[in-house]
Amino acid sequence: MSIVRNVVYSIVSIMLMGWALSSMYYAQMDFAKIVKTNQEPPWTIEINTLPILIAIVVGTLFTVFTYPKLKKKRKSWKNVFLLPIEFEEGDEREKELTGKACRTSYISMWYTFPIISALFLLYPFISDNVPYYPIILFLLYPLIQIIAYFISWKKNY
Amino acid sequence: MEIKNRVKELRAKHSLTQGALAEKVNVTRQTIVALEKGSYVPSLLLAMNIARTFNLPIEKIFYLEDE
Repeated sequence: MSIVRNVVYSIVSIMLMGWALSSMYYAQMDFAKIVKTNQEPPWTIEINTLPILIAIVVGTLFTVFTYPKLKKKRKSWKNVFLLPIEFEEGDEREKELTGKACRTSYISMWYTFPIISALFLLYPFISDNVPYYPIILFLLYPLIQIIAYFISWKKNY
Repeated sequence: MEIKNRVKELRAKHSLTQGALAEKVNVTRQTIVALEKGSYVPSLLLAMNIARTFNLPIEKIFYLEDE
C-alpha cells in the first residue's frame, strides 16, 4: 500500500528537517551573538553540515522514488508538487477516505495545539540544554496531524 | 436500513474479475472489494455505471434491507 510508504517518507523527512534545523540553530545562535555584540570581522561560525547534507540527500531520494509514480496517478505535475504525497484520490471512495482522514486530522489539531502551546512554557527551564526545543515542538505538530490522518485512512480502508 | 448489492453475484455471472469491473466503471479494485463486502455505498454515478455494465436497472442491483 503506497500510502504507508508515503507516510513513512513524510515522517522521516520532517524528522530529518528537524535535525538539520536544530544543527543550523546552533550556528544561528553564534551569528546572533556576533550581530548583537557588533563584533568586528573577521569572525567565524561553526556549523555541523552532516544533518543538512543527510536531509538533502534523503529528501532528494524520496522525491526520485515518489514523484514519477505520483505523476502517473495524478496526471499533472501541478498536483504532484502542490498536494501532500499521502493524498490518494484515485476514485470516489479514495476521495471520501481522504475527506474523512482530513476531518480526523483537523480534529486532532484542536487537541494538539493547546498541549504543544503549553509545552512551550517549559522552554525557559531547558533553553540552555536544548536551545532548539521550539523547533522540535513545532515539528511535532505536523507529525501528529500526519499520524492522525494515516490512522483514520487505515481504519476506514 | 442499509443498502445491499448483488455486485459479486452479477460479476460472477458476467465472468468479470474485480479488476476488470473496476476498469470498466473507472474505479480502483479496492473500491469493488469494499462494495462487495458492503463496507462502501457507491455514489449514484458509480451505481449507474455498474448498472449499465450489467445491463440492469439500478434497483435490481442495489436494494434496501432492514437491519
